[in-house]
Amino acid sequence: MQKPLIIAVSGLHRGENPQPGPAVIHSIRRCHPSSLIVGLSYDPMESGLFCSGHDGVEAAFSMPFPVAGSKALLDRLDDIRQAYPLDMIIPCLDTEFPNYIAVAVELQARKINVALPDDKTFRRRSKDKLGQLGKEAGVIVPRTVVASDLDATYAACERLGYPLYLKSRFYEVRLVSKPVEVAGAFRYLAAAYGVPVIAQAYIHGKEEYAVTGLGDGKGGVVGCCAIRKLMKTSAGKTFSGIVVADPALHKHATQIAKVLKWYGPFELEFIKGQRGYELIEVNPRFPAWIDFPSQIGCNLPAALVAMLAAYKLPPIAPCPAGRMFVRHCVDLAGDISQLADMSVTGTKTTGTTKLRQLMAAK
Amino acid sequence: VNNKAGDGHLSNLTILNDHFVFDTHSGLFYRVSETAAFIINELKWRNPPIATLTASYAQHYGVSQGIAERDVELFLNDVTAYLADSQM
Repeated sequence: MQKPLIIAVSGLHRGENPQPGPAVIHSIRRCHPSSLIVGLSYDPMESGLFCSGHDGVEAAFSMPFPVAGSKALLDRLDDIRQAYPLDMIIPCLDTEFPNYIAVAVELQARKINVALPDDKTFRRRSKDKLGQLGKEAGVIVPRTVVASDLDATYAACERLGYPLYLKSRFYEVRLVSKPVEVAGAFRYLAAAYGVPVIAQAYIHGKEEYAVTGLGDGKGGVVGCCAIRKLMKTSAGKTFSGIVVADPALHKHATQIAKVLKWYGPFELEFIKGQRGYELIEVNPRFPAWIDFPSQIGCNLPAALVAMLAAYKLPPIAPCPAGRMFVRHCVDLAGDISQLADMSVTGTKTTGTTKLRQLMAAK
Repeated sequence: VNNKAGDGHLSNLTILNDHFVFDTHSGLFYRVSETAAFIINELKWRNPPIATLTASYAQHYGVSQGIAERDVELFLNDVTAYLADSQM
């Protein structure tokens, strides 16, 4: 008999730059319907706070921004634990990971399970280290130069040649076609996400691919799903995708998980160029489209929950080529009182009855 | 175009509704004419010599051998050019 779980999930906004949280929540509920979901929120306007469907949360708490550091994170989690004794946390935003990794021991002491790589492993998949990772895993990676200031960025661009991509360590990318565009792109990325920025060679390929999977921490992959991106938003976010069954992509994914001995969710992004698949990013979390494979029998968030709770893993089906998804946006009706609650108290609690039932069952 | 697994290979192609081709490896898909689907199917499942292919094409569509040869050659040229272009 599996006990009901209290699971905290972040990344709740599904706007034009959709975050994975609601998709992760929906996937969990498909397999663990008795779980109580606590949202970890960074903005009272996050759309997931207004959702009452399968991808909504029973309770939510405002969180300190990652720049506040790991102690602020732990203090806030301790506050939340007073009301909701968390069994596990599934962080869904890249910027959260350094703080969670920093307090991994403290979380373990509190019996809060989180699938986290160690700090060294986390850094090995960062954009500025992809070249080395690619060599170790036998995966092609575009040439990359790290630049800490504007002069170094100009030098990096000259070295790689135009056009090229400028990226921050975390999010967003700017295509730079000529020298006059360098300063604007650098200043934007540096102001938004800090330095260094990463200059990455342009890949002459039209098709983009992504693979999401779940690493078991021993070098294996519990399950994975590979897609070609069919539609993207202006910000480059996947809006539609189709499953592909190319053994080369699966081999790349399993090799990277093996080399890193990755523990937890991951998303790999590739562009197919003249040299084949070129790895452009390794993200340490599920993608925003993760509920798509869940709907066709490959429920990786549910498998993650089972892994963390030491339950038997649910069956994970291979994703057949040709299954596809198209994102569909809806309008959620809310009330100003909800916004006021989150803004003033930093708390949303609609799941108190469920919490009482769940605590009684524990 | 050949019938071994890998990019641009016939074994990866699935034909849907007689006019729609999906490449399971690359995830690319195309609308094709009925005659193109016929040629792809012949190559994928029977892999005949070109002379046999044009003969079965001529018989299936009730056209002369000359027209069949021209249609098959034009189609294969188009596919070859497309695949070369897509590798650029």
